[in-house]
Amino acid sequence: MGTKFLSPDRIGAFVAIILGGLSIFEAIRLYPYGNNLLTGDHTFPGIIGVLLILAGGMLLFERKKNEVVLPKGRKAFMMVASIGSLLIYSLLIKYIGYFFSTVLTFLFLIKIIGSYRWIFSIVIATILTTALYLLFIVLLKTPFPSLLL
Amino acid sequence: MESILYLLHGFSEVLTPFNLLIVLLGSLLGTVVGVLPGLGPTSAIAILLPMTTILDPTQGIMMMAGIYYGSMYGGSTTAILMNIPGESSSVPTTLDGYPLAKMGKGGAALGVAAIGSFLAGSIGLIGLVLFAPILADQALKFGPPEYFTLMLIALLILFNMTGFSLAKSIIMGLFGFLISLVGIGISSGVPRFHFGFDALLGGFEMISIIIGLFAITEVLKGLEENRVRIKHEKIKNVYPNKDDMKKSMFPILRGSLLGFFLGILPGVSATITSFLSYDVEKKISKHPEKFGKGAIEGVAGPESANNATSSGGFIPLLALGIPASPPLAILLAALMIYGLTPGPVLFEQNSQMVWTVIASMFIGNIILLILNLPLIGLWAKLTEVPFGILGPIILMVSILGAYSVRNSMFDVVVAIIFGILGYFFHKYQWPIIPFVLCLVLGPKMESSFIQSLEISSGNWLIFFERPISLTLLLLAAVLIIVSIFLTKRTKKRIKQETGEHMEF
Repeated sequence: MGTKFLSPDRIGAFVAIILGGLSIFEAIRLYPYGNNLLTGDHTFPGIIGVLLILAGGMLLFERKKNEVVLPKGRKAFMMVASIGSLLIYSLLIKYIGYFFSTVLTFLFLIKIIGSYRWIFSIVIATILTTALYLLFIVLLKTPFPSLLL
Repeated sequence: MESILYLLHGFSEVLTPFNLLIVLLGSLLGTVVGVLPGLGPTSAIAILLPMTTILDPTQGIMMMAGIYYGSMYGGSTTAILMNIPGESSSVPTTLDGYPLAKMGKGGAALGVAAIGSFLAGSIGLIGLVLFAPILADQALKFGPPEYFTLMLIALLILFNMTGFSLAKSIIMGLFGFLISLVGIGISSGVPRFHFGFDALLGGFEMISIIIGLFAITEVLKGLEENRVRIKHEKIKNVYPNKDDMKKSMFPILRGSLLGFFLGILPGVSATITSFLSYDVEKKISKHPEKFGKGAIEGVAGPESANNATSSGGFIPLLALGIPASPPLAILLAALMIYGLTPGPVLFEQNSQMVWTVIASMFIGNIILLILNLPLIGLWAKLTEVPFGILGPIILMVSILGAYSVRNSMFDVVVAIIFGILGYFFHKYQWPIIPFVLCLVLGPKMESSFIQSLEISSGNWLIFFERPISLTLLLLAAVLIIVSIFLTKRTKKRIKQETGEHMEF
């Protein structure tokens, strides 16, 4: 019973209601800055908040079966590891610069997703890092942190 | 007549070596990304948009348009050779395209698809030249209430069309609005929804969100599906023979006209027109039993309808500033990044740019036809790039692309978060099309709404009292009924053909 009540759609409906509440809260905070009730920066947040609560409520009572199987085992690991490596990359780049952080992330991703041999992975990671360096830094002049390169 | 003169001037602008190179590069890049399994026009534009920012606005938009129709073309390659539709609008192409490929006629099917796409694209562009300036001229009479009504109608119809639950579509649309509101308020200048985080003061960067939803999510989906190298059927002759062309001519013409004229109506997507075209061809065929087993008409009609609808989508985009589909929503975002205001004033203030871009589309269409037929073998080879290499490339290009728009690491984290969210949205069938469209249109709708109520001193009836606004509302009522009928029909057809629910 408990799992049925907390179906993914219901969780989504609750999130919508919470976001709606948050939006109304923000509208109330902004209200003093507006000209009147319907013209100001609070108007849209207020309307959207009310509509989100209504639509969330509507979804709570919708009866639709939606069986979802989430990936497990190696697939789940690959997905989590890929996303994790991107998050670490966005931190790492500040400290060790574009080149080494990008090579390392590429290497990790190619090993995780493609399961290639080390030598092949290192060569491909270096080639791709250089290609993206030429594209983003040389051609597009994006100022990446570059402590080492 | 005036339009023709402007167009000719546009041609003279495009026909310079550098501009031709831009169009060529855009079409080729679009085709390359479109050919990669699972990636469609939306992902192609999202991934490649940051790379166009070094160009001036006209060249940037020319390149984006090239990427758009190049990727549309590329999508048919995977649909025919590998039975993988990049977007739901390519599903009908797989029905006969893949059986044809298995019969060794994949080259002919790709050739017919290319010729059909070219003719349909050209018909769509002629329509654009004829109708867009008229519509833009009329739209100059629109005030904020009319704009708000128009955008609201477009969104309501699109909410109905996603193929999923209406409540979920509405929630996703509202979520898109909510995200678009983050940042500095438009009338008071007071920060909204920043909850004390300085990074949120500048709002969310649309492109990062789109890259996350369309590119990073796509890799996660690929990892889940364990996409490895998928074998494609061999291509023999790329040029369709006389018999193939004879069989395809009328389906191409019917598909183009049906796709264009239905496609300019809000609420009729390329998926709807391509399925309609497929069903029409099957119905009027003397050999309906051949459909699904390798009928070339089953490729010619839907591919043409798909392309004609996509070209037709440029009419509301350029004339009214209203996108009819997610890739066009990203193009709208791109126009805004370049500091342009899409809508009727675009034709007045940036007339030269608009006509140069339209002329570039004609040239791009020709380039695609000339280059793609001989290059079909190469595109097919590209589909063999293993996911173990492709996945990391897409992820890293996405991250660097998200960073390069505002040189902000915050945008990178946003892209990653929306990549994860996009995966769960896909998994639990929460449609992302309403989210993207509301995200892009949010700021425009808010300003139109507030301006309207300022004009009327807070009277809500302004949206019903003005003649144009009222007419738009009445038309919308009819369109919504048509849209509900067509959506139900297409939903049923997708379920029949693929056995699953797809967003369209």
